[in-house]
Order: sequence, then structure tokens, then C-alpha cells
Amino acid sequence: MISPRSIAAPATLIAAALFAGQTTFAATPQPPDHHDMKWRLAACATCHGKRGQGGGHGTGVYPRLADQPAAYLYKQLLRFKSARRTGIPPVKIMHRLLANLPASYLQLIAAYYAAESPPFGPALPRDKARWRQGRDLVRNGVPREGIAPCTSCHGANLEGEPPGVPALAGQYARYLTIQFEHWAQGARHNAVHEHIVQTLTTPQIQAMSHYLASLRPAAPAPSEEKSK
Amino acid sequence: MKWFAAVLLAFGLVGSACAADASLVQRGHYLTHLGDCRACHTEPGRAAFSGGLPIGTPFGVVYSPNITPDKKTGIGDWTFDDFYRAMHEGLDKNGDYLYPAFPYPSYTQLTRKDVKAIWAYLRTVQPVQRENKPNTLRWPYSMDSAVRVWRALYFKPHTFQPDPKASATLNRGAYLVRALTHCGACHTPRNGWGALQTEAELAGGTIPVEGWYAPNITPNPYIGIGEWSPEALKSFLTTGRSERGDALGQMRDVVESSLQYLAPEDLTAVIAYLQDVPAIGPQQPIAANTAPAIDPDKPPLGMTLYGKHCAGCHGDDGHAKRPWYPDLRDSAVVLSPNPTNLVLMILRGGFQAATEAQPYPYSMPPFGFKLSDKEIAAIANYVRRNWSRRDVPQIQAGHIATLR
Repeated sequence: MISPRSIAAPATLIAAALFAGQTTFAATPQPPDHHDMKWRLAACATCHGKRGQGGGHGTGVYPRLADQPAAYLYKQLLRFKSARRTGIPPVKIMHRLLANLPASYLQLIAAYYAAESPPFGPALPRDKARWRQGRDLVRNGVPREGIAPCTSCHGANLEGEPPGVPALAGQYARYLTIQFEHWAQGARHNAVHEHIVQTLTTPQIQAMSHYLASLRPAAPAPSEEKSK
Repeated sequence: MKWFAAVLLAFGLVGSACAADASLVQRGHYLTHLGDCRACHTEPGRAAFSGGLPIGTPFGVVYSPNITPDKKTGIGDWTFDDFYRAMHEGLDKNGDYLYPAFPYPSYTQLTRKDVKAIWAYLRTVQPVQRENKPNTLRWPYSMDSAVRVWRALYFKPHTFQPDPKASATLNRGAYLVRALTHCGACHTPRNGWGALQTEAELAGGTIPVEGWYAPNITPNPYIGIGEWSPEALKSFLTTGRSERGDALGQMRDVVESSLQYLAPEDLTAVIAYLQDVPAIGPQQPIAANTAPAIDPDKPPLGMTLYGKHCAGCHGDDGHAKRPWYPDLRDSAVVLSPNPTNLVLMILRGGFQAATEAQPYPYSMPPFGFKLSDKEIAAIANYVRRNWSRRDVPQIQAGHIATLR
């Protein structure tokens, strides 16, 4: 990670030594503990919930952040900060909120949500045909189109693969579908997902989101029999 | 042994020359912070000083140039005299006019010695090859002759002249505020041509395009900083926080990238000067608050919404519940005759300033997409009129719509 401050490092050794010795403030303050972080992140809680459970006013637009790998969250925060990740208006708010925060704080924010594990909300009513279609796409991919199953990167139970790959199980369907729209529009960048969105139809993507949202981690994937 | 002494002497000379350079660079680094050069000359996520930041003006967009010492795209092939001319006269290396989005109407007052230090520092930053983006100003502002006319009317190169009758502290403060930290660039109102209205220096202005209001910072007791304690001013300038409210919008950025680095003696000088400039604004006490008392059995909409959305942090009585949350009762943000910043804060929310002393700031949620114009106006009027000693004008819902 390159910070502007490190880029501005002086060219000469003498100047470098000089700045190394220049401490305007006595000591860097202690980072807040986990409990204290909750008080600092009121701006995030409005949409993502106090414990990162997401959902946001019942819309499902705002993702669940809890239980996600800290490194993944941190990377996304950096991308919002630099406006590399954009999208629908609520995403643009992210840039405005984070633009002035130092990377050290973004790391703490990522760690805060990664360590939270609030209960999942009740799963939404299941549309059986869509759910089956989604399960097939998620678990088997579309080999003839070069689309691998989601499980090959996001984990056999779709609970994510730390450090870099997020959990999908139990994520909000609306959020997941919107992300594919963002990859299609170039608001997010990832070759694998761009290929998926260029190849699959919107109903197929919605079916995958529908299936993923129905899953609950730390338990075996619900079987079709039980859903009957 | 003579050669030995000569070598020693030579080393000694080189050593002291390096030390002199180093202290010049260090001084330049400090002055560059105070001039806040990096804020405009750095695009988020890009190398420091490599330019490309779009700066909105009422006349179109100006892109800050690359001022790293890159020879091709930066100012690597400039001489100090070229640089001084840019800062003092607002002309680039080729003698072309620079747009006054670059605050040379303030920097012109800098001493040549200080410009030399800034130059020495900028020579030490990492050279970055990055082409400048052309400005996208609308006609006729895009014409060279437009800038020429503007300069003839509003700009005359001059260096700061200390007032022999004022103290050294006041002179230092005047130099910092007027030349280097260019407070007036936002806090002095501008006329239709974007020129600073010098007769209303520091009396408050709206920041073009961004919309935040840079309040009156003259010592007027009613609408300026006249009732602020030096401690509140000190805290506000260096941490972005005070008993009178927090630094919001661009001021938060200025605290973060510039003012937090003010040396103690310079901070004292800035405050002394601001408390000494002519107080602009109402000279008579503002009428007492005439807002009708609230019947607790029939709470108005603003009170109900405040209790639901705001009191959790700011307290039922406007006294914050935690030390880092801002008090609303005496907040200059809340009580300002121009309610823009209060409304923008409710709409957009955001984090407090992130400084070296407080890198993990607290934050407020954005309510813009949750509450209607009418609801936000009701909350703003409640916090403005419920606790104030003085009369505060009402905000209309229509005004909220213009700020979204």
C-alpha cells in the first residue's frame, strides 16, 4: 500500500534523516478497542447496522459486513476511499465518508466488522424453481461457457476464503445482483465476475443471488428435501 | 599536514552547506503544509503533488497541475525565478496567465525567502511523470484576455508589509492568515467575477460548487468568533473539534492537511490576528429568541424526530453524551445565520477530522436518504431555535431541497 506521505518522502538521505527525526506529536494515540469502535462508526450503522448485519431499512441494498474476512473488507474500503469502486448512489456516499480517513483507521474498521457475528435474519420466502436454478449455477457453474462454480473460489460452503475472498452465504440477494450490475458497468473491476455478467442472463444472476441469500453459514447447506 | 587541514575544511564546508539545505527543506516542508499545497495538487489515490485534481469554479473546472520535480510533466525544468514568478505574479514558466483558482492573490504576499524554502522542499519530493489535464472553463472565461482583464481589475503583485505599529505576533498572524494559509480564499466573500471583496475580509463566503459555507471569522460577537475562547479556537484549528462545533466540509480537510501542523507560536499568532481584525457584521445585539415555548404534551415534529434520530448522541438537551460528540447548544454550526453547514451535515453525515492526534475520529450518519426535506427542516429549526438565547431565522423545507 502506497500512502501519499510515503511518496512524498524526500529524495536525499539527509532530508530523509531529518524528517525521520521530525515528530510534531509526542506519540501516536492508542487505537480504540473493539467496544469503543462501535461508538465511532455511527455513520456506518445507519445502513450496515451496529454490528455489520447489513440490510439497511429492509432494502437488502446494503451488504452484511460481519464475518467477512478483514483483509477483504480493508481492500474494499481502500477502493471506496480512492473512488476506484463506485456504483449506485449509496456507494458514492462511501467515497465521501471515507475520503479523509487514514489507512490505519480503515484497517480497524475492517477488523471491527470481521470480528462481529450477529445472527442472520430469517431467510426470505423461497421460489423453488429459481432456487434450484440458482443452486445449479452456483454449485456447478457453466463449464461450456468457462464459468467455474462459485464454490471454487468462495469456499465449498460459500463462507468465503480468507484473506481475499468474501462470504456469499446469507448475503442479501439484492446486494449481490447489484454487484453484477456494477461489474457490467465497470463500476467494480474483476475479470471473473465481468465474464459471468457478460455471459449469463439477468434472471440467471437473480437466481444465483436468490439461492445464495437463502444459505446460512456454519450449518450444512439446506437440502431441497427440507425446503419442500 | 596542510592538505589534511584543507580536506577537513572542505568536508566541514560541505557539511554545513548540507545542514543549511536540510534546514531550508524542513522549513519549506512546514510552509508547504501551511500553504496546503498538497490538498489541491494531489488527486485522491495518486502520488502527492502530481496534480490532476478537478477544482470546480463558477466558471468551469480547473485541474491542478503536476508540481513534482519531473522534468517533462512537472516543474523539474523550472528555475527558482520561474517558481517565484508563479507564486508572486501568477504566471507560468512561459509567462502565461494562471487561473486564480491557484491562490496567488494571497501567495503574492509571501516573502521571497519563504518561497525559496517551499521551492527547496518541492525539489525533494518524488518526481512523478503525469501529464497535466487541460482546464474546461466555459467561454469567455477560457480566454487569456478574460484573465488579463480580471488581473487588471483585481490583482496587483505585492509582498506583505509588516505594520510597524503592530506587535510582532500580530504581524506574524497577519502574514500567515493573509498570505500563506490564505483563509480569505474561502472566508472572504467573492463578487460575480470571483474576486475577493476586500471590504468584507473574512466576513464569510460560500465555497463555489461544493456548497459549504465558510463562516464569518472576524471577532463579531454575534455571527463571528467574538465569543470564542482562545482555547476553543486553538482546539478547532488543530484538531477540528471545539465546544463551539466541529470543522466540517472543506474546513475539515484544511485542518487535516494543513492547520494541525501549525507550530505553537504560529497558532498563537493566527488566533491573535483573527481576534484583532475589524469585526464585520451586526454591531447591535441580536434580538432575544422569540420562538414559542414547547408544550411537552404536544411535541412538534422537530422535537420528536430529534429524540428519535439525534438525542442518542447529542443528548435530549443538546449536550453531547460522549466527550467526542459535538455539543449543539452553543454550536456555531447550529446557530450560524447561514444554516447551510448544519443542513449539509444532517444530509451527508461524515467523520470528524482525522489528525495525527486523533486518527480514529467519530462519525455521524447521513440522513439525506432517510428523511424528507420537511423532516430535516423541522430538526434543523428545532436545534436552532429551542436552546438559543438569540433569535435565529427559520429554515424552509424548500431550502433543504436546494442543498441535496
